[in-house]
Amino acid sequence: MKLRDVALAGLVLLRPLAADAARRPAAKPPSASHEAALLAAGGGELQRQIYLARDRVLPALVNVQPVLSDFSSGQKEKQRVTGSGVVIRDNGYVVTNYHVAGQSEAVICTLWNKERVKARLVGGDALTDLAVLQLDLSDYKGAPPRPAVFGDSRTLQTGQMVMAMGSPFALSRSLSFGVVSTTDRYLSSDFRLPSGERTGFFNTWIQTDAAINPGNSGGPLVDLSGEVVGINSRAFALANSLGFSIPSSVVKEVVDQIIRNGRVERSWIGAEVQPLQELEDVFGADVGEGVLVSDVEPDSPAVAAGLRAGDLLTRIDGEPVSARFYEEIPRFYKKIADLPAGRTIEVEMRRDGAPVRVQITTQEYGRPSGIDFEVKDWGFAVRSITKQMALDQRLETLDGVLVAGVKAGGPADLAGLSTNDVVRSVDEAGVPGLEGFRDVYKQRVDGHATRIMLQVRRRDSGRFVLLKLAPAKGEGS
Amino acid sequence: MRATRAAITIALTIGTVSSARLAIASPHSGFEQYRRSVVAVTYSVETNVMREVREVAGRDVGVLVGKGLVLLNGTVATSSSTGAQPHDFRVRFANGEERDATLVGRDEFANLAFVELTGDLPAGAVPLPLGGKKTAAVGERVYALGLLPENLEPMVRLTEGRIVATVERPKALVITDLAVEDALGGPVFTENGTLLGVLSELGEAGPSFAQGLGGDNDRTTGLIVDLPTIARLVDAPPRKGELRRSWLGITLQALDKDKAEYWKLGDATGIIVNSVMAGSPAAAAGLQEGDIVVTMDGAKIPVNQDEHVPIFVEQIGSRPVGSKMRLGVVRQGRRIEATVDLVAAPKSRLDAEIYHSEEFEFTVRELVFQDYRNFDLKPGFKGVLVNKIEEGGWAGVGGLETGDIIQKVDDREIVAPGDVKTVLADAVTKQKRKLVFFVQRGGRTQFITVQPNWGQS
Repeated sequence: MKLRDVALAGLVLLRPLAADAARRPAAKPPSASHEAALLAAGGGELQRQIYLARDRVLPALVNVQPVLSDFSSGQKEKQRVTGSGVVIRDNGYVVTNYHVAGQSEAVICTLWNKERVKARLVGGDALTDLAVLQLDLSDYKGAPPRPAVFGDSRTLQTGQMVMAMGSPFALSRSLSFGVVSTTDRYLSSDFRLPSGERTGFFNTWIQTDAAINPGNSGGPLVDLSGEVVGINSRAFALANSLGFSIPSSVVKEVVDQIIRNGRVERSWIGAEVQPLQELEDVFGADVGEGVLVSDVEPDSPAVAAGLRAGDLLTRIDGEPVSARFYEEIPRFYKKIADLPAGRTIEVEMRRDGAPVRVQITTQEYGRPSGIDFEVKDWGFAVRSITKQMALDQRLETLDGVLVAGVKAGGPADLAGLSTNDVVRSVDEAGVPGLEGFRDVYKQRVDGHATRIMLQVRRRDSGRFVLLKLAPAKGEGS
Repeated sequence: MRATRAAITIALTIGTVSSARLAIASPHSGFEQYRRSVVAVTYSVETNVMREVREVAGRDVGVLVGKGLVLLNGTVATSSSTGAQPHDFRVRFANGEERDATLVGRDEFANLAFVELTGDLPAGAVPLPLGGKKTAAVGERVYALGLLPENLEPMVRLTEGRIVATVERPKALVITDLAVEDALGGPVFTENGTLLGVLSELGEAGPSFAQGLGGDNDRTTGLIVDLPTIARLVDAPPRKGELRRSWLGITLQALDKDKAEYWKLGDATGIIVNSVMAGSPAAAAGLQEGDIVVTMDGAKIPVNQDEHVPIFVEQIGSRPVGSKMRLGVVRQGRRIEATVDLVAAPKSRLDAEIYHSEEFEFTVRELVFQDYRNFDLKPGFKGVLVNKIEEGGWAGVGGLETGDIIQKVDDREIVAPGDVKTVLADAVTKQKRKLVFFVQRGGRTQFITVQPNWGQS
């Protein structure tokens, strides 16, 4: 079975391609629970608790098989993957990972009772790697799925027993057992989703030794009371028993927002921060006081307010802020992200030891990634450029469209276009964005143009790329 | 058995008493004549693979070209990894004697480098005779001298090949199938012992004027650098830090036939300006992105495919620094003329100033022009590049990494390696317990704390 996991810094996302394994007959599901039967099974109190917890979640467990669209080869390609999910609200709302179903065109879900139903994508959030689906139960005849209940991940203890449920390697309805290995694992935000977005700024992870494999992505981490305390999302490749779950406190908020608005709204000030540990004396902070600004993004609200690296932020709207360790960094970013966009905040800070007060007006965080479009006749695919993409890839402007993929052997490939080029003009007419690009494209295709001059930006240089297209059929006889 | 031994004896006898006569005759005579110019050059160089920096030993063929001067292939004396510079050169002669040597400099265009020996030339070592110019024909058999594996004495070996092509554009080149891996930098001569030049290579690591001709470089193609080129460089060896070539300060691509047609420029050839670097001669002359340069001092520019762009680069580079040049430019369909005052190309990595801290166990070097492009630095950005870190040293333990650009140490702005030297010397004097480095890493800045462990190194 071919797995298309993305490995970076040893981390993999837990999403294998759909495989025949999903269709193999699975073990007989447990019968409806009742205390007497469980006690008769033996194994004592712990075993009984495991059964009870299992039975509270099993009727919510979903095997998720989305069809994703991928443009990285320069043309739209459909791709079947498989992952896990859990019904978390009435009306068939399922939470899973963004990297499983966040860009799905169609989703098939297999429920705990092996019934297959369709689902629609309600919304996704690449920054927390979460997505919400809604099951289409209109033609479904079985017992309605019973939503699982969120537990409070903030009260989890290291050593606390947990179970991971889902479809490792597409083996649906699998349960593994272990403990919480640590409650607040910090994972670097250099990690990228298969679709290219950076992710994971706003939370730490629950680390567990319950076996988590590709295919477990999006499945629940469950405590012994049968409550969902996390969504299993990542594991270390080539390691044993190192799985990571997004804490339920984060999942709950994201799910609520997606169900309400279809997306998560966040705000942004463009200040990067780093742990203060070992630097308190240098920046005149008490231990546990303040957040150290390490960088400010160009053209950001932070720059507009005069913020700069080395500033020590002590209070935001009167509330103390601090980040002494890496594990405390996501909390700060989340605090900013949770503010409404356009809100002016009072920031108290120390600069070179002297107290300074500034006001910063937050901006909308914006989408981490743009919209893909297949430029079919010219043999490539483009993506609209968002503010966050421009910051990430250090593009100077939002103008143009980013080349998301070039089809091998197509006109663009032959002319020397490359992935990550930014198309700035078509036949010397500027391309302000995807809409403008589409218009010019349509116009040129309708006009049967056989020569198209693209001006692209590639790193710090530029290039002219001349597409040579075959004349349309019926012409040139 | 007996007959063979006798034959060897005779050959040896002839070899000793009458090498002059043999010099006209055979590959063997060439071997005998030029092997005394061949040396083994060893050195240390830093490699940087996947951010892991390591010191590795290199051993390459060199040829003695003057009393104290050894010529070797340019790829030997530099390295493509950031800031890596070879050092601790040692030259071993065919008779087993060794000398220390230092890097003199490198000519990027001919891809040749020079090291200078410390001390006298060992007896029997003879510089390569560089007079004359012999051209070889395609199909002619040629020989090159290279090195045997270490420990085998004498160390010189012979490799055989043929001239497989002579190329005229973008530049006259003689191409051979001699095995580059065996004899890169070694002397090349004909069947009858006539010296042709030195074996170099074509491809990514090859002479920059030949870049783009390498194609898919599974096999390296050898080329022969001729004697006049070598003689010219021996007369005036390139010196580190000496800026000799002119540049325009643009990125460019060829005006090919299709693009000329698209822009209705008839049969024009030339180059398209893709970007103009701030502060460059091109910027001063008012050149703009999108300009199409079609003539140089009134003459057409014979470039109509990207592979020939180096012709233009070479034409500019070979103009004297300080001279003026008229460029015929098409801008938005109109012909205009621009006059460029040529200045020297900026310092390269090889010429960059470096500073190594023994105490903190790391090395920094001056930022050069290429760094501004590689790291997307804005013009006017100041700092120094960390190009080597000892993992267990104080700087390494503190979290400084190769590729970091140091902007500040404590409150001192860092603009040159000397500033790092000053601030670290001060830290040593004061036995400072903590230093805070403000660095740029991957486009973002951060503070790094380095805590020396005085008295326990």
